[in-house]
Amino acid sequence: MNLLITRPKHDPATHYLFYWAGELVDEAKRKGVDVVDLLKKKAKRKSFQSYLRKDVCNLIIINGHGNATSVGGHDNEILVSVGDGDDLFKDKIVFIRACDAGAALGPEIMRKGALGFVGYIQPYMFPSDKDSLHTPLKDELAAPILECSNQIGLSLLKGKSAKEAHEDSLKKYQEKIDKFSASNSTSTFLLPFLNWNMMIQVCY
Amino acid sequence: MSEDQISQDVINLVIARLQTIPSNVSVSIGGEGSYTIEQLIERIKKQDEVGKKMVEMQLAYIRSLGKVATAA
Repeated sequence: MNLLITRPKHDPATHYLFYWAGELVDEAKRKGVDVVDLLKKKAKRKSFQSYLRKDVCNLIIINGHGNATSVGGHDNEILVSVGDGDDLFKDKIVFIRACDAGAALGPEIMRKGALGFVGYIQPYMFPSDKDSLHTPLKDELAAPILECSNQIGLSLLKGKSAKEAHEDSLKKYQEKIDKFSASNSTSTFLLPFLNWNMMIQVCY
Repeated sequence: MSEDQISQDVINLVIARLQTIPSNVSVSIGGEGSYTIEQLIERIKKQDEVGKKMVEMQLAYIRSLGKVATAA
């Protein structure tokens, strides 16, 4: 297995995704998986599509901002969109952690031969603690949501299918919802965020 | 929902829910940016896209509680 991952870091949301996706990079390296890590300014269309054309990676994880038809990298430069690079995922498994890309881009990637796709069909939202901006991995408000989406990557790195990874993630969401629904929880305001991101996560 | 005006009752309900969130919380809404709770409340009052999406998220959760109750 070889992993191609993008993790730009140019605004507060990508700052958080950068560090949480870094956990996936670390786990991949622990498992001996070869990693192409397009981090920060390296997350550009030319490099990304060039690596896809070389066909050296079979697991693709994209972190960034998206919309229904495209997903971006550094400074939101479009990495791939419907009609531009969506045919480069043949025989690959794809996880896009970005808003909306599961609505049109995901189905198109599948139509053009991908093995599996996990993404979101609406905006991906998460809360964070303003005092934890410099330590995103220790942010107890963001962690429950980002752990659930990270589960997709962790399961894929174990060799599971997109469908199995999606189901593992949904199971983790439900565990978090049960935890924060407990009467002694002081963070019940996290529940709508967990419910939302679970509801909008799709797998093809 | 984004095409429609939201009723004042729903707006008041969602704002009341957001007012229970601690002030140290900010919310990232994809590419739209990150917002304080106060800013989100303003967006909900204005009924712009960010405000409508926040209402949609809160209502989805409230509806999910109804499903739990029905299932039980």
